[in-house]
Amino acid sequence: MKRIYKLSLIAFFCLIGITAQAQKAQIKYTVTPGVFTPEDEVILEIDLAGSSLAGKEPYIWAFGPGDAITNTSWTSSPDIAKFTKVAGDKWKYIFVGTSFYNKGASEIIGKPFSFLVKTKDGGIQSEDYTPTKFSPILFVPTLFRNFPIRTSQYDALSLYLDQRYTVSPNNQRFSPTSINIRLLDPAGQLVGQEKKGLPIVKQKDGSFGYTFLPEILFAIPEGKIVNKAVYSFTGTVKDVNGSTVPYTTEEAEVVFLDLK
Amino acid sequence: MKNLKYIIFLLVVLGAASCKQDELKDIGPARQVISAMKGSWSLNSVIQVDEYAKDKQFPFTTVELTDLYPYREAKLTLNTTEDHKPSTFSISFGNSPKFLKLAQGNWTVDNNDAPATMTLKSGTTTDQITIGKYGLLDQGQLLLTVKKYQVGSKGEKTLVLSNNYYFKKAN
Repeated sequence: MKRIYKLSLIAFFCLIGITAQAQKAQIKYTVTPGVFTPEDEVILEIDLAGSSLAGKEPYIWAFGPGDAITNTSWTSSPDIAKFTKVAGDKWKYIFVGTSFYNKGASEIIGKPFSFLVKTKDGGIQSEDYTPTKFSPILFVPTLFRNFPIRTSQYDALSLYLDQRYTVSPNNQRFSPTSINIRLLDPAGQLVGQEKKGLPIVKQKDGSFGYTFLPEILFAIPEGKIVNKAVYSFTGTVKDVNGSTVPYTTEEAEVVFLDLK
Repeated sequence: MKNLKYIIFLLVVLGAASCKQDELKDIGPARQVISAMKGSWSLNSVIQVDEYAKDKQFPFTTVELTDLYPYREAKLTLNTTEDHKPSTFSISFGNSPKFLKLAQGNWTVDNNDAPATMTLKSGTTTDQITIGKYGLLDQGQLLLTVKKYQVGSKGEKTLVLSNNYYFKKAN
């Protein structure tokens, strides 16, 4: 008798499990772009037609690198979790990984982007889906490099020349000695005097660099907005006759951001 | 065999009875961060951190700026009230670049027991500074970090660079 009771109990819970499983909607979806970094804008489009979520207002519940900011309450998803209607049962949701998960890119890179679609109260939900992982954001070495990558006119700026990363024979073989820098305002007008022939320093990795504070080097007037720094490296190179002649690279630029 | 059971049982009971609660060592008085910050400090080194590059695991993340300009001429004095609360401050930059907007005024912290950020204020002008590792204070050092954020179109802030100012206690 006791055994029958136990078996009934097991069967009962199995039935509940099967019923719960049956309630999970199977939906169609697309993710654009197919491969994305934590900083790319991603568009998730869903089609609820033919599923138990058809005709309902869908909300996203996302996970993978942790809970997304949309995962506040299962029984009452916030408005930021709601998809935007495209047409009929087609909806879309747009996000950027770092702000969506409220994490730095390094905490998201390599982690899966997983989601499910639900009604606001969580009464109906889809299966879990994991379309892809977040891709790393690659560093690409180049002839010119600035440090920091994102900077303002009020912060120290380092400009580097690495001759290993160029296809131009002259850029590869010239002997760099100095740098020319000029600052431009948003209208493209020169700010202060252009600085020419500033001595560069050889770095441990073989590149050449120059570091400066724009406001000191160029004596920028208080309140003056600087849009960018334009620079080129100079030195000498042997010409076809074997004579040493001056050489200047093409120009590169750094755009200043309004950092807070 | 029956006796063996009793012997084992007895051994278990004796073993359990011999246990005594470990006495936890006293962890000592709470760290007095504000009191440790009080006093005169000389700027010793300046390191710029590319937080954007660091976040993306790029190879170049720091640049030492100390010798670029006479940063070491900068002196900071932090005063406290009698009950160890932040009060006034002053900075003498000398020929160092003026890396803060203010030279004097009042300083406050977000939490007197465990401060994470300090605010320098004079009138309506403020400087927001992050306080570094407390462990440095035990070594007579103070790390103050000025963080720079990129603000998106919807007001979201992304940390892109930090300037770390390492002070040492002035005698």
